[in-house]
Amino acid sequence: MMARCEESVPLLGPWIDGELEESDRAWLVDHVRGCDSCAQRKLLLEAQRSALREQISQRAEKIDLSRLSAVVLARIERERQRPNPWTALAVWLEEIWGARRLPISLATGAALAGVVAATFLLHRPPPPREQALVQLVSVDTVDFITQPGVVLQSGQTSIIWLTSDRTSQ
Amino acid sequence: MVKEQDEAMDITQETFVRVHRYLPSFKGDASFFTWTYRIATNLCLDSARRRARSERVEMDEGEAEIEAQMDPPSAALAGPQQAVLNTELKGKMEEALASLSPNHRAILLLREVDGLSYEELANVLGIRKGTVMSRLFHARLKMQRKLREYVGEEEGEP
Repeated sequence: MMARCEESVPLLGPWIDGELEESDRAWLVDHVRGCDSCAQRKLLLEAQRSALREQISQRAEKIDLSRLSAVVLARIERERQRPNPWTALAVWLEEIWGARRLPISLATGAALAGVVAATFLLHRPPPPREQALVQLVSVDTVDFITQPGVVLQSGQTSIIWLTSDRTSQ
Repeated sequence: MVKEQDEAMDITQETFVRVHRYLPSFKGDASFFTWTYRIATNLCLDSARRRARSERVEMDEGEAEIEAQMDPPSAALAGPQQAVLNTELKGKMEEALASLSPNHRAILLLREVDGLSYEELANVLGIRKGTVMSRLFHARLKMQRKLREYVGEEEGEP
């Protein structure tokens, strides 16, 4: 196996497809001219293409398409008479899913991970110290007549909490 | 691209219905030809994927295949074109084609039979041009391997 064959093999397809970069063309033509294996590989690719075309053409000739336009027009007419938004939505979603399968999967996975993380963080139990503080607090309900509120007492600290900012000022 | 003729007919109908349905949303970013091909190809791939899920079609693209490609072609296949075109082998073409993954079958047919350029293939299949080259390479390789199996190349190989 010639070292050049390793570079040549992936380029044989683009060559017969007419998609080869001009910079590769010169050396590839030169190589294939002097390498029986690569010349045979190229022949094989061309033969495979011919065989495929012939096979598919033969199958296509046997298909009866005479009723196709009538069937399609009938379906279009039915849609015109009874437009179904759910069908259109389902088709749209199906096509989006078909064309953007990977990004949608990644985005959905990321969103689910975010929801799980947020749920975990929001429902985390308070640290033990906070719980102790809450237990020390004594609460008295104070009726200020015009404005209800509460007084929280913790040690030497008193907090008066009113339900309206305007009254507290 | 699909196995059954009835299924192909259904997809053909559905393609034209969808083209008509979404024509108002066609922006002209791609050619109408490419856009229509894309709708048809997506329908075929979806159908083939559903089938492949149940049949567990092998979809790997291993490096080992590249090594297989490096083997010198056998006389049975690499000789004159008539070796590939002989009646027995032609009968096996369909079988080999059906054994490919939906993605490989699609790109091979769109290129070899319909003659789409690499840029058109990239637009129709929604992949990059580099991926077109890679996928096409592997699709051709798998097809060749299948055909080699059918002509009994393993008997002639050391």
